[in-house]
Amino acid sequence: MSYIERKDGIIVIKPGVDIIASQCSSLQDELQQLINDGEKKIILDLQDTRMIDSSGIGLLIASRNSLLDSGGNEIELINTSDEIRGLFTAMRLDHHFTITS
Amino acid sequence: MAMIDDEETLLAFVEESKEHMDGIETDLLAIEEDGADIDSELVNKVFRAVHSIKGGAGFLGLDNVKEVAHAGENLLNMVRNGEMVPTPELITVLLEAFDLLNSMLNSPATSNDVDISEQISALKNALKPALSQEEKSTPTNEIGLGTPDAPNLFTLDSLDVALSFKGGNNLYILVYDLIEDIEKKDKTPLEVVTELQQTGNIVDSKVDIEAVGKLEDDPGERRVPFYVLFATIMEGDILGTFIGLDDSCIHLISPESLTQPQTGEPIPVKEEATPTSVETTPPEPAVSISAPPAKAVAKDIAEKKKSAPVKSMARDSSLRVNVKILDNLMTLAGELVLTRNQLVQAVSSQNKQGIDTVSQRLNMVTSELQESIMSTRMQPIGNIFNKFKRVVRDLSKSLSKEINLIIEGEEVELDKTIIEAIGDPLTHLVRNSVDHGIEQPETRVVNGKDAHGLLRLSAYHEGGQVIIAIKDDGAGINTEKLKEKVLSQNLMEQSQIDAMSTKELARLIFMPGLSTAAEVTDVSGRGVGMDVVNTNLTELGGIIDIDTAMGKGTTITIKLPLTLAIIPSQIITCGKERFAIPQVNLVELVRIPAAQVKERIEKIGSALVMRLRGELLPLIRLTDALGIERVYIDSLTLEEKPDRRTQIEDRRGIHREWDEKPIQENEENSEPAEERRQSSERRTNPISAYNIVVLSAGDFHYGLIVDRLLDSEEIVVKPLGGHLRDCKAYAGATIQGDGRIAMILDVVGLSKLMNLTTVAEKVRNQLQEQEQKKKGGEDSQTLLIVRNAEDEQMAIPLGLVSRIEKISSNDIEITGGRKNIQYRGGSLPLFNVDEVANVGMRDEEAESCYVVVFPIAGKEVGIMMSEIVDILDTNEKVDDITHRQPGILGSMIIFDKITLLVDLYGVVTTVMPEWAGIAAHSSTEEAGGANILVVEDSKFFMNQITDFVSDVGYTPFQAEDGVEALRVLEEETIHLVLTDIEMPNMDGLELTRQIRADERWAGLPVIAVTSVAGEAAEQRGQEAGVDEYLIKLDREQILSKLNEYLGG
Repeated sequence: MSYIERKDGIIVIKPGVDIIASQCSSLQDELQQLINDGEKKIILDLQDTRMIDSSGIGLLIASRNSLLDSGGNEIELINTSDEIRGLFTAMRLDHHFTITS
Repeated sequence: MAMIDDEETLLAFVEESKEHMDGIETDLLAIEEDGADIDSELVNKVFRAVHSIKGGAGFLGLDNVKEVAHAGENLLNMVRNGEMVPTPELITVLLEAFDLLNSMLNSPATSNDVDISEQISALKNALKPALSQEEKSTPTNEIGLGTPDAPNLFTLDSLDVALSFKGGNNLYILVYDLIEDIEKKDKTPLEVVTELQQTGNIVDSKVDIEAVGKLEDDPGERRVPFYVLFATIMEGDILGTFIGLDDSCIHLISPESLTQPQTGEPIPVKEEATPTSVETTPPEPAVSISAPPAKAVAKDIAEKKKSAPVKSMARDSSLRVNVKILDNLMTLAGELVLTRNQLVQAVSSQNKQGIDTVSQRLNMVTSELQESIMSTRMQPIGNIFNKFKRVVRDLSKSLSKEINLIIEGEEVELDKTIIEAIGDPLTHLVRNSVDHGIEQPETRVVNGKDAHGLLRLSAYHEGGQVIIAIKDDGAGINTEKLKEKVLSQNLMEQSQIDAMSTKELARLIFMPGLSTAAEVTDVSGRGVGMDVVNTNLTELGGIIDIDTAMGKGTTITIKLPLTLAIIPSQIITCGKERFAIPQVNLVELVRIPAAQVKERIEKIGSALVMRLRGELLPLIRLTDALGIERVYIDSLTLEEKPDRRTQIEDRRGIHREWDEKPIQENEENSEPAEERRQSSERRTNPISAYNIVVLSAGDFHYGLIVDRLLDSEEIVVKPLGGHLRDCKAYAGATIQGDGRIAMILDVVGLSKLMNLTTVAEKVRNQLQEQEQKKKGGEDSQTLLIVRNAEDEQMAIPLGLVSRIEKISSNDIEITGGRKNIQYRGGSLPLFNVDEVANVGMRDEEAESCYVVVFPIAGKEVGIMMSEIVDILDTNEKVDDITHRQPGILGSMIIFDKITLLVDLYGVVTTVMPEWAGIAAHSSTEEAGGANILVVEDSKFFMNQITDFVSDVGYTPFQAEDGVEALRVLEEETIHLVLTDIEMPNMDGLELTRQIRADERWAGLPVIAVTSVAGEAAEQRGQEAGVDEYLIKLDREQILSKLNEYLGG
């Protein structure tokens, strides 16, 4: 279960675990729920998330797509580890997500 | 990215990167030198080195390292495809950036915290001129790249595309699906991306966001297409296997398919040799020169950054060794095992024969093993020398001087420890040369020198040592200033200074606390440098020597042992102990038989010196130096007895127990022929001969009197304990085969202990005086020095002597009242000088004597002498008045003794006047009063020659030198010229040339007479046009030649 709270009017979701295939299913549900609730911006707190695998990336992208589809703006990733940041940069995913350390 | 925690990988990367960096500095300097004439191979080499570093750094999370490497890479790229010229400014930027890279590599853990902004902006700025030019000249074009399915995946600037091809890269578009190609293959995206980064360059990448779908879509069906525009030197077929991607997903972009023309030729792919940790780098060419960069840059660079911080040569804890050496070591280890097995067997079966064989084998294997192991530690000195290119470049720039650095002998190898240890001293010396030695260009030009200063670093092997020389053609060491400095700092007394020679004064720079720089600059001049250098070198067993001339330059020579631990040495005994003398210091061994002690060993002041081939060598007795009681071995009882002779050179000591004992007959006869002594020496015990070891102590030689000489051995040097550190006489100790200890003598230390420097100087001064005399004085003559009566020394011009024989007195026969001897099938008449001249009598009772054989009147005769002393070249003036008498031509001072010059001809003809008649006979008749011009500057010889010329009836004319000779030729009719060679104003050769050049005298016979024999001299004579080349005092020959040319 992810840790979810609202901060300054923006929803912050912190999975607290690696975003890998085995975790995707529950995270997907949580994100889906947030979008359904009408959130326009989601902050994904990647504290304690050391790794994101292929499924994880797929999930994040799909989430972003869904969010934009429903009128939202963006998913912001915070507290990203150096590795994850490097990966997203190499994959040019930093164009599609706002990444702040 | 966080840093990978893998300690080992990190270490390996750092080591490899450092290796890359090692060569980079030298290469960059070479590139700078090439200037516009870019050596693309060299640039490529540097590029690839930086590229590897970048890749590895990226992998390991060393972001700063990667960034700097990347920026440098871009710059190098520009250079290698000809878009930028490697100007000094550019190279400096690169050098500084790579300095930073080096320091970051040295502490990778903190590298990410380092502020690299300055270097990065410098690198980027350097890039600007090229880019903007590019932009102006070529309109920016965009190229679309994609796959057949997706044509415009990537849009790139044509420049970037061109860049990505450089280095022989292939360009591919890789089509991944994160799920299918990565997750399902148990990989993570991070791994895949990293892998790609390591094997090539991700020019661009793209995830097809749209294609991923939405959350609602079936997660199981989710696909994440990922495209990578990838540049790599890998070929397509390998690539697929390597990255685990199906070939169908790899699309090759060929340069031709792109619409825009490429800039520059694609550079052919070079095989990247990844150095394994056991390869050695190939040797550099023997000489490399780095030209001085443009002067105008100096100011900018100097202001921008101070000269590169003095890098202390790092002491690595690892070593590169050639595989061959390791193989050899393995083989030898095997041999050792086999030998050991043999030994065990031989010992257990008490097989003496076997033990002997094994012992031999062991000896051999051990030596080879030792050699092989030592060679692993040998490194080429080029490793350090090349670092100096940078030092000199930067330093000369900051001081606005122009300096050419020449490096020779880079391949000379030294033990690793020594190489590391001399790094700093050498740096100091080189900086001194640049700072204090070589002058500003303007100053140099004013003094008639080339504006470019020359600094030569060379290394070579000599006599078991390595010699390193640092030579500059600068201002030399200002000894006057040195003197002032030393006095003003009260380091020495005026009187001490006055007594010093130029060389000793130059050595003052090694004095601690001294600094002659006007102010202490950052560069050098702190006054702590040179003495530290000297100390460091001495600790290594090295010697430093300075040779300087004001206005001309300075040469510093360093001699180092090849290795520290095992050295060949000469074992000697002194008293009851054994000592070892390192072979490198050993020049020769001299044994002075008792008979010669008196004249070969002398005193100058209170110091003992010895004559060795005309030179004076200071002597020390080892017993005195070490405070050992002197003993001698009594030959009869073989006991050691105290030697109470106080003075070597006086054979009659206070107590000599053997004086009274007559030497027994059988003992005498059993000795070899040379040992047979004259009766006058019978009192001397044969053991009182002296064994002298001639040693080299840096810049001078001296002799050490020892008791006995034993074997030469290879010994293991054991350092002295701390408690013996002040013992100047010893350099270490060794344990001998029998378990006893032998102290190793410190040759330089001994000389200092006995204050030999002052003695050596005095000796040298004496020699210099002699040299001066030679230059100003008479012609040089080669003389045979002999003795007739015991105390009387005589000289015979060597040129006249046919042979010297030693004969036994018993063989002398008396025929018709004259002595003679059977000789070569005939009879040789014998003469004594004392028959004719009023000189001391030769000891007729002696067992043997020497006979000086020479020709006269067509026969050979011999003059008997008691001893042969030496052969000498000398210009001593001949005093032809004092001792002149029949048989004696005159006298001179030789070896500080009055020496009579024997007139061989005179001796014979005085005894047998009729022979003179025979000799002269043939000439007189034909002489007919021909005019002979005798050209000779020495009065003595002039008289001689004129005498015998007129004796036979010719008419002599005299001239003092060539100029006068020509005048006489003009005025008189001359039929033959007899000329000396060495004369003032115009020498004999020049005279001959002038004679030959003049039509009137072209056919005139010219006979050169000289007092020195020698092929070279004869050759020169021939070339000048001389007809004959004769010895001055060889009356016979001269007359017969005169006859030849004038008679008939």
